[in-house]
Amino acid sequence: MTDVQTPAASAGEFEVGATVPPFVRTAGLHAWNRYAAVNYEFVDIHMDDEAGRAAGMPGAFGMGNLIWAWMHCAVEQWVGDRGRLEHLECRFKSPALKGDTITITGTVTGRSTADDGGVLLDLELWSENQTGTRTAPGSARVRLQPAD
Amino acid sequence: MRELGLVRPDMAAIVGQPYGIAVSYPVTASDIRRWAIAVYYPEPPPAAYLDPDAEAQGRLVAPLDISVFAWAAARTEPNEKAFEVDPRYKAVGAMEQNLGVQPPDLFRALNGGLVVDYTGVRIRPGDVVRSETVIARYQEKESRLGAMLVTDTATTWTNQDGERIKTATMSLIRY
Repeated sequence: MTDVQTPAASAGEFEVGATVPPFVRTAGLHAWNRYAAVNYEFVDIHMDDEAGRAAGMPGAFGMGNLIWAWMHCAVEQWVGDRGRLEHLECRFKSPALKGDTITITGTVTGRSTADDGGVLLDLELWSENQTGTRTAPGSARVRLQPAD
Repeated sequence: MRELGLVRPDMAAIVGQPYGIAVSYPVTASDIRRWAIAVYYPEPPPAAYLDPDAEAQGRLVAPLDISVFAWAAARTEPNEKAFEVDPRYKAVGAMEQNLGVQPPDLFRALNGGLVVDYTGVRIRPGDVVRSETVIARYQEKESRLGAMLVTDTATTWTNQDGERIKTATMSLIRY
């Protein structure tokens, strides 16, 4: 594995062991309704406590798709135009409940050089709630722009 | 591994056959901005999404996770093989009926996860996206819940120039 200096990357920011800066949001109707409005996701379990309880949860709960969206946001805010997300996968283990503090974060687990000179970062990426429970464990790969 | 008999020959025969073909309306700058604002709420999205000059200068691209089919599709391709099934099958996400095959009698389901590969081709204002889904793979598994059928469906989006944008693979576990 060859280490390559990436333009504009701060020292260590994209090294193995580095942390994906936390992307933190509060789960609840303000976020869910906005997401429902763009994704046409008007489902009772995401809007109505009674429907959420009927589904075995304490009340209404958030969309897995929104957690998925927040994972993209976390990577986008971190990498910006210095690279791009090329692979993401996750399992939705438990939904976000009203008032939960959801943090998307991760670590760089691998770094290699692509044929075009770009740098590939392997990430462990996950969603966790305020108790530290990982509600959506996942992994990702980011391709950084080749050095000039 | 012992075969569990969940994958019938007629099910195996539809692996790789396309269904659910849809074509989007042209994506607008407003579609892109609203998606970005919604997913970044309550903080503003990255500046490029709100820059009024970004579209004219060709710098406005959609968030990778945008759904351009959420509200409506401009066109869907008629599918003569599809037939109606009991709502119990639809409730667990069965898709075989779209390819003319009776779904298996499995009425409990779990979301097994989502995997997406992005090619680097971005969605821009004016793009028209075509979506096509295939059953990519069936797998049988045994668990403490009994015999399980894992179905991977792969949905590929391409743009009006035939460039692949992404492939999203979802795993549906029925048991």
